[in-house]
Amino acid sequence: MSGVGHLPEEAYGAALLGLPSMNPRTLRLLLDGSPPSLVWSDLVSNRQVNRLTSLHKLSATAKSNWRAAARSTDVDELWCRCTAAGVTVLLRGAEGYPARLAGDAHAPAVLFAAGDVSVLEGPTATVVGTRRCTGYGAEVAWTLGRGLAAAGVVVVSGLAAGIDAAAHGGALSAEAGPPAGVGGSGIDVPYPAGNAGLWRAVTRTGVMLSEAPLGAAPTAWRFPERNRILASLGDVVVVVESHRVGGSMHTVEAAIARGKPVMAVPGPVTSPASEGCNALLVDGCAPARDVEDMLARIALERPAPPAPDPEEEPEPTGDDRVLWAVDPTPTMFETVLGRTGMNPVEAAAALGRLEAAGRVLRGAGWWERR
Amino acid sequence: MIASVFSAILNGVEGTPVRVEVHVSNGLPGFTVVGLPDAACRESRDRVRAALLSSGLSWPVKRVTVNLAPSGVRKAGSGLDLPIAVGLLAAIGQLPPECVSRCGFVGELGLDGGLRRVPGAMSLVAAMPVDAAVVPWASFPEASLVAGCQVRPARNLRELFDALTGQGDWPKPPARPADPEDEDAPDLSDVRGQRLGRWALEVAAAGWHHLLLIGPPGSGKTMLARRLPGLLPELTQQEALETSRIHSAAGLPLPRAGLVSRPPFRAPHHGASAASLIGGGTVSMRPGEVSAATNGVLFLDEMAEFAPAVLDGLRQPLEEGTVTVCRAAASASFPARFLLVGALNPCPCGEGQTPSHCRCTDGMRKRYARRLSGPLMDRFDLRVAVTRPEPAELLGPPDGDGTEVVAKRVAEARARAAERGVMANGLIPASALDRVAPLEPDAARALEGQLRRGSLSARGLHRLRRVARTIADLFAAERVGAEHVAGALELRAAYGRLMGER
Repeated sequence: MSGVGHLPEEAYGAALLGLPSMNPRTLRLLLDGSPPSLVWSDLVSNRQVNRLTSLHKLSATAKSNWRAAARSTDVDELWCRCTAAGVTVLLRGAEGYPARLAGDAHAPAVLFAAGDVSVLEGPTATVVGTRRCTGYGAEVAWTLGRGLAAAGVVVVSGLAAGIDAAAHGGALSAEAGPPAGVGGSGIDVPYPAGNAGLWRAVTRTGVMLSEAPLGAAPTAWRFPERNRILASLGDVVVVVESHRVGGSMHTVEAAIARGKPVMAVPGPVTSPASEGCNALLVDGCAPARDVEDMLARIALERPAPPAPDPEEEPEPTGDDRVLWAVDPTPTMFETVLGRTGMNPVEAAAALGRLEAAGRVLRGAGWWERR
Repeated sequence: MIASVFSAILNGVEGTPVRVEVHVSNGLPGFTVVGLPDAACRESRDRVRAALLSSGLSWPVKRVTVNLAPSGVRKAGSGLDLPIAVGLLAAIGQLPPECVSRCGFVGELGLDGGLRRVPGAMSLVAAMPVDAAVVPWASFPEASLVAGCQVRPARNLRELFDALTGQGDWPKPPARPADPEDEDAPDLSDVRGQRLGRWALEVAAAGWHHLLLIGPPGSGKTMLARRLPGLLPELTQQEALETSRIHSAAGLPLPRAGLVSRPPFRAPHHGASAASLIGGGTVSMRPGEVSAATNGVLFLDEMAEFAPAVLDGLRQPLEEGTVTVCRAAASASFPARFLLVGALNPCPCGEGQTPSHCRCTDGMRKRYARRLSGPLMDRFDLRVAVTRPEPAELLGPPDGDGTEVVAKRVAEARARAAERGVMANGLIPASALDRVAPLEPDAARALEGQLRRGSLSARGLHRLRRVARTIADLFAAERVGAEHVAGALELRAAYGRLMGER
C-alpha cells in the first residue's frame, strides 16, 4: 500500500496511466486539471468523487477494477523503475512539458520521455509515410531527413519500418540537428524490433516520447493515438509516400485539424505507394520536392556555409583535386577515382583528410561535398 | 589355384589399400565377387571376361571367386577391373605369381582390353604398399607424381600381359608435356572503368581476403571475378600436389602434365546442393566444390540465390580450411582452403544502387539482403560496390595495369607477408596484429574516429587492420599509415548499406 505525499506528482501520473484499460482520453477526463496524487488517493480510499462519476461511459466494473489495481500498485517501485530506466515523466501543465503540445486540446496528460526534451524547442518537421515503401520513397525520406537535420531542423517521426526509419536514418547521418521520435509502445519497448538500434540512437542524440506506460506492448489502437502527437509536434508535416489509406493519412487528418501545414512528396502516378501523396497534392497540399521546399515552408533558410577565411585559404594541394571531384550530392568512390585518375589509396587518404577537416561527408558507401 | 594382387579404392581424396584375392576351382562354372562390391564393381565380371577374350587370353571354364579384402569396407567404382583380371590370370597359371607379387594395379577395362582412366589415380597409387604400380596410360601423368613408387603405364591388357611375362618390353612412358601457356586466361586489362573493383581484386589476391562484389546486372562482377586466379601466385609444389590430388579424386579433367600448377577457379551454379558444394556421397565420398577450389578461387555468382543452408555450410571450411563430411557408413575430411568471391545484386530487381530506378519495396529488399547470414557476411574482408562503367570508359583504350603487372605487385606483397611468417595477411591471428601490423599514430586516430561513430565493431577492426596491412605491403610500407587505413575503409563498406539500406 502506498502512502501519498513523499513521491513527486509525476510518479502518480505514471501510476494512473498504468491502470487497466486506461487510455489517453479517459486519463485526460479523469485528471481534468487536478494533481495526480489527489486523484490517486481518491481512488485508493474509495472516496466518491465527481470526476469518477462524471466518467459515466465507464462501467462500474472498470471503476472497481481501477480501485483494485490502484490498491495493489506499489507507486514507489514504479517510480524507481522510471528513474532507473532514465525515463522522465512529463505532466501536462507542469514544468518541462513540451510547449508545442501544451496548447493542444487533445494533448496527453502524462507523457514519458527518454533523452533531452528541450530539443523540441527548435524548429521541427514531422516526416511520415508508409511502412511498405519503395526504394524511391526510402531514398527521398533519407535525403529529406538528412537535409532537414543538416539545416538544424528537428526531424520528428514515428520510428516505424519504411519511411519513418529512413527519415531518421538520414537525420542521424547528418550528425547535426537532433531527432525526435514518438513511439506507440512503452518507451522501454522498442518496436519494431528491427529498429531497436535506431530507437537507441534517437534517444542518445535527441528525444524519444511515448504516452504508453512502461512495458506496454505495441497494441494496434495506440498507433492512431500516437499519430496526433506526431501531427502536433511538427511545424510542418510531410508525407513522403503513402497508400490511399493508412496511418500516414491519419496523421495528415490530425495535422489538418490542428491547422498544421501539410506537404506531400510527388510520386510516380503508377506507384500504389504514392497514391495517397498524389491525392493530397490534387487536394491542394503543397508539394515537397526537396529540403528547400520544406525549409521555405517553415520559413527557415539553410545556414550559409562558413565563408572561407582569406587569411587561411589552404594551399591548393592534391586534396583539392579530390574535393572538386566530389559533388554536393552523393558521389560513389568509383566516380571519384574515375574523375581524378588517382590511385585508390591516395584518393582514400585525401578523402580521409578532407573528412577530418569537415570539407566532405562520409555517406553510406559514398562521399558528399559540404 | 589362388592368387592375390594389390590394388586400392578411393575414400574421399584418400586411397585405401585393397587386396584382390582370386580363387579358381573345379565346380559349376561361375564368377562371384564378394567383399561388398557396388554395382559398378560387380559388373566388372562381364568387362573382365570380354577384355580377356578380346586380348587373346583364356577365360577358365571353372568356378571363380573374387574376394576384395578387407571385406567389410564397401568398394565402389571400376578401378578394380584390372587387378581382378591380373589376379585371374595369375590364379589360372598364365602369369607367374612372382611377376605380380610386388606390383599394384588400378584401371578400368574396356571390352576390347583397353585400359581407361580412373579417378584419384594419385591417391590410389600412393596408398598401395608396393614397389611398382601399373596404371592406365591416361592416368600416367598424375600417377607418376607420386614419389617412392615406380609407375608404369599400360595401354591395354595384352601389352601388360606381354610385359609381365617378359615377352615384350614395358611401353616407354609418355614424355611429360610442357605446361602450355594459359593462352585463354582472361587478362585484367580487358576490364574498363571498375577502378575500385580492380583494386579490390589486387588486395584480395595479395592478402587472401574474401571478397564480396555487389552491383547491378551487367556491371562486370563475373568479369572481375574470373580475373582473380590470374593475379594469384603460382602454386607451390606442395599446394599443386594437394590440389591435383583433389581434382584427380573428384574426376575433374587435369592439365596435360598431370599437375594443377595454377590456382583453380570453381564457379558452381546457384542451384548447387549442399553435398555438391561441401562434398559427400553415399559409398565413396566425393570432394565438393569447396575442396576443388583449394588453393584457388571459389566464385559464387548470384550468391543470394543459393539456398541459405548451403551457404552456411561454407562457414566451417572458411574458418578451418578443412571440411569433414560424415555419413552413417563413412566419414572423410577434405582440404578446403579457398579464396571466396561472392557476387550479388543489391536488390531483387538489381537496380538498388540508383533508387529512382529500383522497383522493389522495402520489405523485398530486406528479405533479399537477409538471405546472406550475418556470420557469413562477417567472413568477407572486402565488400565493394561495383558500378556500371561509363560509356566513354567502355569504348576507350585499356585504362589500367594488365594481369602481369598486377600479379608482380601481388607476388612482392606476398613475399613481404612471408617474411613476417604468414602465408597471407588475411590469415594473421588477431593476437599477432599489434606486432605484425603496427599502426602509425595518425592511422590509430582515424580508426578511433570510426569506432567512436559506431561504424566499426571490434571484430570489424581486426579485419580492417589486416586489409590495411595488405595495402601497406602493396606499397612496400613498413608500418600501417592513415592512408592505408583510409583505403581499407573504402574496401569494406557496410553490407546493409551496399544493399540499399538507409
